[in-house]
Amino acid sequence: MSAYLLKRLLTMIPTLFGIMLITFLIVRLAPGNPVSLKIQAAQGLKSTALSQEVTDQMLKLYGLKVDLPAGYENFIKDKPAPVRKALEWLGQNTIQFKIWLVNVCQLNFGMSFKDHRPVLEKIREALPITLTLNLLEFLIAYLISIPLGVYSALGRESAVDKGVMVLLFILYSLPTFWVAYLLLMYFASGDHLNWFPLGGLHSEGYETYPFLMKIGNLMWHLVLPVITMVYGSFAFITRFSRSTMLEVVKQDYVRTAWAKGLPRRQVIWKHAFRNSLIPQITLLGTLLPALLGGSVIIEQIFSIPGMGKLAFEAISSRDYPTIMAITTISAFLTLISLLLSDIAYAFADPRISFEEKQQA
Amino acid sequence: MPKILEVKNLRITFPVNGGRFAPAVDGINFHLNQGKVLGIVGESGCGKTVTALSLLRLIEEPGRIEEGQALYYGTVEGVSPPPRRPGPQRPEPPEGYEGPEATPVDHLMIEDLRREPTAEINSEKAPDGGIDLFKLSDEQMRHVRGNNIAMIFQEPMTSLNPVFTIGDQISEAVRLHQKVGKKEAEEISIEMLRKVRIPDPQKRIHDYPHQLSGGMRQRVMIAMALSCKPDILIADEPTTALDVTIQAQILELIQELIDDMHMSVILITHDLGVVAQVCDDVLVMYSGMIVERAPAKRIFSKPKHPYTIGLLDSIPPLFQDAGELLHTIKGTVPDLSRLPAGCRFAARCPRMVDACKARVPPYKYVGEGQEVRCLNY
Repeated sequence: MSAYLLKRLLTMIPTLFGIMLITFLIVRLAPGNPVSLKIQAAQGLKSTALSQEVTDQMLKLYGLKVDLPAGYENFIKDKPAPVRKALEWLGQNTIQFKIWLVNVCQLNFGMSFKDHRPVLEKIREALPITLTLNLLEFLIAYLISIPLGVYSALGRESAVDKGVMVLLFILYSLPTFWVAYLLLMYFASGDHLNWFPLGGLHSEGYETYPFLMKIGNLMWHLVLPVITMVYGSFAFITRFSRSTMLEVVKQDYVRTAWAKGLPRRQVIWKHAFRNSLIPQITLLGTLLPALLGGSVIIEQIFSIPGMGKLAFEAISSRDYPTIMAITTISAFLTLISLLLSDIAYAFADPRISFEEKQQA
Repeated sequence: MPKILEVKNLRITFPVNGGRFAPAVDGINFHLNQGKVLGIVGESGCGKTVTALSLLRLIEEPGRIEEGQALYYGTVEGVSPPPRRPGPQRPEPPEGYEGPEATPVDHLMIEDLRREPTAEINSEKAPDGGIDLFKLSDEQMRHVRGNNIAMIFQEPMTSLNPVFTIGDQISEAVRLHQKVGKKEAEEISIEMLRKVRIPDPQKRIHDYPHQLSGGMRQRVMIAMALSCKPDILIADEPTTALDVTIQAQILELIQELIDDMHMSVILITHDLGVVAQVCDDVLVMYSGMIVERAPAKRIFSKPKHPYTIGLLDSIPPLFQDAGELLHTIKGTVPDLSRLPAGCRFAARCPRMVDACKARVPPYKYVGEGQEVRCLNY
């Protein structure tokens, strides 16, 4: 097991490097840069008449322009203009990528261009919020969907099964932002029911609350966002759980279990269910990264300061360090969660073993 | 020779397109004698497996048992045996009498009842105090499964649950039916594994199915089936998925265990070699009907039904010139949703006469416990 883990962790290094390189390139190739956005913001949208000198100075300040080595400067000096431009871009970005890489290896993700706070600090604030929200969503979605899928599979083609499937399909088709606004309108505005807050995570004076009330207050704020996130997952997970169960109950070993005279409960929940969980782990492995990603739309609508909101704001202000830090950290956590789901496989399915086992 | 199981007028249908029903098993009658091995042979799709599954009521939806009885002459937990019907009892055959079909009474029992079922067969009461398996509640049926009637399946590779150890899977049935504790059930499991000659059973019970070979897995299946000492063992092509040397070992093992545990066995196979090796009596099925029944020896020495003869002729001879074609039965099995009115084998039969197409031939007793559904006799 440990040899396998080591191998997996080592192969993560080149993967991560590739992800970082691609992220860097995408960010750099995107049109617009933080300096021009800042200048526009400072001077009003119309004025672009700032001297090249000031712009260069600002670029240097943010580390977006570095001094190229003298030899390289000489080498590209007398090339034709387009070639020189391309080579200069290449030189600049190679050096900047190297600097960034070295910094990241020292866990230094730099300062945000936007508010000059350390990027890591901003992520440390946003990540737990998104994680709480998504974990709640996962938990609720799975707790409801898996039993629903199993019962639907057992009563296949019955009225209940068909009804559940149609209902879930309708839910799946409703756009999130629309449902979010409907919920806000009917449950959080003064016009109808005023049961839940409009947005945010805490009420005023939250810091002074005792611990349990803090939790309660947080949950109260999370009700609408979680509902918005969860209803769409129902259809997906229930259908998946139904189809894996349908597959499993046809298997020979389930017939064997019946032939032994086991009660229905044991046949379904022991012999069939345990096997139907194995494909669920694959699904979980692909869903885990979403745990960290956060939903831009939902966090935006409900003003939740999570990862989605942070990423969205970073992108719209070309906050390079934040964008790249979020991508790198998410990529790293995704790789870890894929590894975790592979390990979970071995626990669920004894046929999968990471060790070179001696065959009996 | 007392009966342990008697199947009367069993009819199993599956829905086909257009709201019609195809009879996969069409009014068959047979019985299994205590301590005997009854072979059911026939090609794929003739209804062998469905018949076997119906005895445990394990036919998958949408197939269903349309009519018939499966009378079990034993005791089922939670079921009081129905009172014996007053009136003359069927005389016990004299000692040493071979083949129950030899008595004229038995012969009448298996008359073709499909078209015109008699009142006696359709009556709720079982004539000899047997328990009708088809009338038990689901809960009662649970006690029958594994405890009274156990089954071995064709595919040892897929018939064991991959995520539980074999020890778990054997002791599960033991704990359920014999009401023993975990420890004791494990001991019984080890004992059973030793009985089916799995080496090192103390260690093996912690193995998962994928760690065993096909032959070993089939041994585990046998151990599991026999762990509760059932009266009846149904073996559905137990050796088909195994290679030839393992087949012989498994058959030998089954034979030995049957003798040892005084079980009655229904052995389903399409391998006539297997029949010759272990069966006492044989039913030949074709397209949902029994076309011939006889003691195993008679089937090989004096086959009567053209289908049986065709099957026997199709066995590849040991010495055959290169280039010479193997014998086959011409034509194909009739579509179950469009069955002919007459004998189902008529279209492929070399000895077909016009009358064959008119109606299903009745059973004809041809002596020595042999009966055949053919107008040629």
